[in-house]
Amino acid sequence: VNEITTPDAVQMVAAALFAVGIFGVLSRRNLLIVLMSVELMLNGANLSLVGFARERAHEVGAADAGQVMVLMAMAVAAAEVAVGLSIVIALFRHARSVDVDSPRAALLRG
Amino acid sequence: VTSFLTLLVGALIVAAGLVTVTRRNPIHAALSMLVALGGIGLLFLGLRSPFLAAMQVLLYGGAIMVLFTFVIMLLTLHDDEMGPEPPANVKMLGAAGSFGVLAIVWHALSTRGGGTHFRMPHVPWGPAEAYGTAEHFARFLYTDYVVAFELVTVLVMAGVAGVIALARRPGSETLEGTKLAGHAEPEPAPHAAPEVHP
Repeated sequence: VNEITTPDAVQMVAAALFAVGIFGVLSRRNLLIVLMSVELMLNGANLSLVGFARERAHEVGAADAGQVMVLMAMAVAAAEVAVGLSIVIALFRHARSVDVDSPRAALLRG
Repeated sequence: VTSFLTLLVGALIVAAGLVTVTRRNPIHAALSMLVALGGIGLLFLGLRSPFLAAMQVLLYGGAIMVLFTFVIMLLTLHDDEMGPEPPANVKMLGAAGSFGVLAIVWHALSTRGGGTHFRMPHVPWGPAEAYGTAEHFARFLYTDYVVAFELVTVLVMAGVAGVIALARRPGSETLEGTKLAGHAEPEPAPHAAPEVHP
């Protein structure tokens, strides 16, 4: 039998936050907001990992893997935001706009 | 953490997230995102991860959001510099895409464990100092995960180098008088068009 159960509340919140981030990435054209949406998605994934780590807190090794992975994801996110925001500034200098669909944004290159 | 409290904070987080992705003014979006990030820090506390909660506040609420607000204030965007709002069908498409992903994740979460008699495992809490604290992190971060830790430091260094490369003024080939290797080719002047804004 394929018994369907309700997901844990933390995982529901994480999935909803991830979906909100996807909506922002897909529907916005302001590069700053797109970056923020990516951060929201990352936070949803982090929340999911911490939730699963709590579920497996009784297993030695499993919970630590989840928690350390979240810490690594935070460090990577910090580096990503620094590079992403300097790309925003480069785009603004280049195209006088932070619209990712502006015609001059297509000319932005290395 | 009780389910009800989680859902209450979760509703706040998702609402703040929705405000973040729908505001036109980027500073409003950044501030409501700060609310969402703080809510996630609260959930981390509820999940017995105090060190991660502290890192969430320090790294996300502190460093990353300050960087965002700094860039927003540096650019001081006018309305015409943010581009037009995307048409309604693009928004509908975005909503459809996000609901699709939500449905997939929901299905995966609902049927995990082979889809048979899944139940939330009862978590016997050990002493609080044995899980999610700074001491706990230090022990695992500098033994089992030391390679990942060092790789992250390399990544951050690469990020610093990338930011410096991006932040150079177009056309300036030197950094404090020294020629940068590998950047000898002069870039085309990007501001050939007359400046619209003072």
